Amino acid sequence: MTKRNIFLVILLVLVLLIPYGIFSYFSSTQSVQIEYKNTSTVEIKQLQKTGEDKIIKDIKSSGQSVRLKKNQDYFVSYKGSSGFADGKVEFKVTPDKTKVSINPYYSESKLKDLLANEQSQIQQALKEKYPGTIGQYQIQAGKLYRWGEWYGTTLKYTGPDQLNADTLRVVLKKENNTWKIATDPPDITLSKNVYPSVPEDILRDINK
Amino acid sequence: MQDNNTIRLSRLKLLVGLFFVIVFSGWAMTQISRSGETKVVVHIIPEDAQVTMNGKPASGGPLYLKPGEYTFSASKNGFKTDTQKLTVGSEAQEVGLLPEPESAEAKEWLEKNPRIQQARESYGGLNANREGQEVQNQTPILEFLPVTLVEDGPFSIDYGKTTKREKGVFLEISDSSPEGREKAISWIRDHQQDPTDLEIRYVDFVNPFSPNREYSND
Repeated sequence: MTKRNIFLVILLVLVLLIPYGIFSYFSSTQSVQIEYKNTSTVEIKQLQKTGEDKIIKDIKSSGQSVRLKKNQDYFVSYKGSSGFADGKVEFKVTPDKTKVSINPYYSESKLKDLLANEQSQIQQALKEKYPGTIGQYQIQAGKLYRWGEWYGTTLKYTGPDQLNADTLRVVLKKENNTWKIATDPPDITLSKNVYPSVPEDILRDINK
Repeated sequence: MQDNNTIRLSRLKLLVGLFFVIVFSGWAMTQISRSGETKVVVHIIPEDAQVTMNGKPASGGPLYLKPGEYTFSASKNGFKTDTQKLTVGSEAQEVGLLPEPESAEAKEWLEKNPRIQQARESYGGLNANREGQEVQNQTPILEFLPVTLVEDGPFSIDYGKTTKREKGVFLEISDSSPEGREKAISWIRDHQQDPTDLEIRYVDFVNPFSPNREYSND
């Protein structure tokens, strides 16, 4: 083969592959908009198998868009403003994932302050739902979750039946300003399969 | 004459080179477009059943799918529609879509084709193994069950299939006292399983908040 022919073949390969490669590159990324409130520092990161997570982008203002690789997993790491918790939101870049919204939960200290005002209503809700039976249990202090609309606690048995003296767990939710039992009946452990409407992280914390 | 032959030979070489370049380019483009996809082979019996994947028309044979959840369905007149849910990860898989004969004609067709019946049984076994593996992957603690501990308990833990959830199992803790039940839960955690992920039935515990509750699969 002559040098000219070799050159033509190489040129043909480049002509065929390079535009396809460029097209593949641009079609493999997607714009994702980041919206947030009540936060001070927002970063997009990618999990690394070893070492620190890789910072992809600092988000300077709510509504900023970032171009990310499709079908990749990322997370938005943020620091909450005063009274709001730090956290992260994981997401995968898919065709329907064009926006990530950050709305931090209340901080632990703020939730503790709110609990003081809710305690009596919560105990009243338990007494109304389980009159008599609840008297054999000591309702522990418990804690609020999210923006104070979820509550979980343990019930310590104080009755005479030693074969049934298990500590039980219960979760309540505040709806229309009224506390309602979300996991009925209270039980030794609460399953996400039995209570799919209760946030999983709350169940995990209560079950500890 | 010799110059003409040389020219012809050069052109022939160029054409052959061009052919291989095109084939290679096609192969390269296919590999690039399939990156991140997993091979799933779909077997269908009867072969002319209508197939859908996530509600859209699909075909059998090898498919290249991105990781995720897929629902396959095969239907044909005279047969009961078969639906299989598949979780596609990074490893190649096979799935059998096997609508069950319902009409007399369909049953007769299957009776007259023992080899097809054999193939159906083979693909049915494949589906069962896959589902069993999925349950095992979701509930790794099953590998250690059933278990009975006396000195570090007492408790027994066994499991069963629940009909309340697809591919779901429940754990049953029995032969226990309150202390034994706590130890059973610790044992579960020690085996890298969070009780939150499990439906657990405490057989010996009479829940005073629901004393008439009976565990059932209804």
